[in-house]
Amino acid sequence: MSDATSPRRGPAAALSRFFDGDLWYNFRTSPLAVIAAIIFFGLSLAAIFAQFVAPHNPFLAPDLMDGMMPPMWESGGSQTFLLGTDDQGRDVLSLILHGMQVSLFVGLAAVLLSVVLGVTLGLIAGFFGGVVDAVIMRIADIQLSFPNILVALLIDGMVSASFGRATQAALALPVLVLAIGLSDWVQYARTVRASTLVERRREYVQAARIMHIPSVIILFRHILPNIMGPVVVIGTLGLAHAIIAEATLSFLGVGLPPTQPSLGTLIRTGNDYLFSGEWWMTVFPAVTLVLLSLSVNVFGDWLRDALNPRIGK
Amino acid sequence: MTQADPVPTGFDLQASGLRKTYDLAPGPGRPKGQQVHAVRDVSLTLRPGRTTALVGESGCGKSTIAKMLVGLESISGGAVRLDGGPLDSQAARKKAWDAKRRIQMVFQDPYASLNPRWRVSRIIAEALAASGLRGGAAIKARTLEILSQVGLPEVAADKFPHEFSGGQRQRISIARALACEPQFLICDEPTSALDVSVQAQILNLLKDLQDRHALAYLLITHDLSVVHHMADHVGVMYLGMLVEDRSAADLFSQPLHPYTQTLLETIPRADQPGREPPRLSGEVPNPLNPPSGCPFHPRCAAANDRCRAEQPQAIAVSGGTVSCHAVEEGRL
Repeated sequence: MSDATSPRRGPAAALSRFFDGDLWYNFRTSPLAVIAAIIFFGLSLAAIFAQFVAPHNPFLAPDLMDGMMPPMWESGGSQTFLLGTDDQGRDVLSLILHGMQVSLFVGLAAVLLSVVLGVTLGLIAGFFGGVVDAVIMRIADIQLSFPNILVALLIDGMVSASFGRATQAALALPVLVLAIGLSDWVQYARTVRASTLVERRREYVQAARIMHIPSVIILFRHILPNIMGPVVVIGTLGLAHAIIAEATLSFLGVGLPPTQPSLGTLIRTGNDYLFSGEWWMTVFPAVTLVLLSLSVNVFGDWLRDALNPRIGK
Repeated sequence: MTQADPVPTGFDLQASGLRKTYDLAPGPGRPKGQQVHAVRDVSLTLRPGRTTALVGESGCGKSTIAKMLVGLESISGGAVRLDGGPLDSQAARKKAWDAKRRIQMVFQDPYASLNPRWRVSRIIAEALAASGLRGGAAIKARTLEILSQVGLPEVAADKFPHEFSGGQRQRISIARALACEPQFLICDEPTSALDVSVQAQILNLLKDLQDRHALAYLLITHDLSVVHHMADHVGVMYLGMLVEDRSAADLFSQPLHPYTQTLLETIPRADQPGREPPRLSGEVPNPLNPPSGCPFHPRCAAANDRCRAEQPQAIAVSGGTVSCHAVEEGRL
């Protein structure tokens, strides 16, 4: 019996276990993952504290005389507006910071919605099987035969048709989250169902069934923690996907109203001026979008490889 | 206590005429409606303080019987009775469980039978809560008590299953089963995944626990030396059927069925070095296409035309029954 090691409990012990673990070592030694993480967390922090970090408040009435100013290093640029101003005289940098806040919020909320929906349905389908499984997975198959963006457009369209254009502006944010979240649950459901099919045959699940533990408890306390690995990976990659989906929908004009800055609406309004030479209005938000989604994607890719024991180094 | 049941029965777990058939999905070269008979007409009884063993080769239906007894597999035919009352539904099983008449199981693979994300204390606590124990302090005290019963130190409670060796995990598995205070314990190859040195420890632990709690064991194994050490009663299975079902003393001193005889002769013996173990010709028949008559006849030296045509019935012999035409006719 090995009773030399003392029990390790509590959050401090959990933290030290994490920093001693393989995952942290793997992270430390892959420069790409470290760079991606730094960029992502840097951008996220700037977005979260946009109210304090941004040099200007884009929601205050701007001075139209400041409109269309180029970035500070171009001729005609000013030190007050580092990345220039838009057609209404709003500071592009401040707009990007505030826009990123909205984009990140929509992305996270949409991923959360699709994870909760997909994981629950996948667990139920995999565990109970039979008709329930068939119904859930056929719905998933049908949804998968449409492009995601079309499903999101459809949901957005249905909501604005039933509530009218007037209330749509107020509902824009929750509707966007709903549209992206509902269009993206299928991959979580499929992955979770496959893992559940494996786990429910494991003997620790059978042991719980012998003891007459209710199915709901077996599902959420026994099986769920054992299948979360792949969900975390898809969720990370899904965040990048959701941020891009928000930008796409806003760019197409069905997402957020132009009054509310998000990366998508900024790219769209700036796009109108691209050919008249005011490139900074669309290029800077676009570069931010690329940086944000790329860093999340690279981090997610690393996480997938790090958590898969079969792709060993 | 008065028994209202017209059929007087003891406090035992009885399986009578148990059957399991699996329907096969039709596919290329496989017609519709084909069935595999995994278990055919098996009867056995588990009594307090006694060990019944099931032996046989892989795929002969031993584990299927275990799963039917604990309710993990549905029953295709026959019945399982607990204290005379049928366990024919999950509701009936739940009722028996709540009345503290419990069947527990120890699984073969100690690596898969414990939730890898749960600490030992939580694994045991779940079993305690499932058997009606309430209150954090009471559960904690009982957890430590049970761990010491299976020979694990107190610090084991705060560890995860992957921090233990195979033998220690099997002890945790046994502790979880014991936490429910069962009367019947089904052990499905409890030692086959363990080192030989650890096997003996686990078997001795099981024996001690049986003496202390008057547990009824069903021991499923393919290892006859384990059976010899543990069992009071032995059922020898071949292709889903019980071919010999006798008390351990009678079976080991005078095996009757040709299959049992061959099995016993294959046990390695320290007192006869260099002895060539006998070999059975052929392989276990495909359960999809079982032979006519006696299932063992293609590999049996004593088989005749009757064995090939007619399925043998169980005949009474000393200490139990055997199903063999050759024994019945005195040809062996």
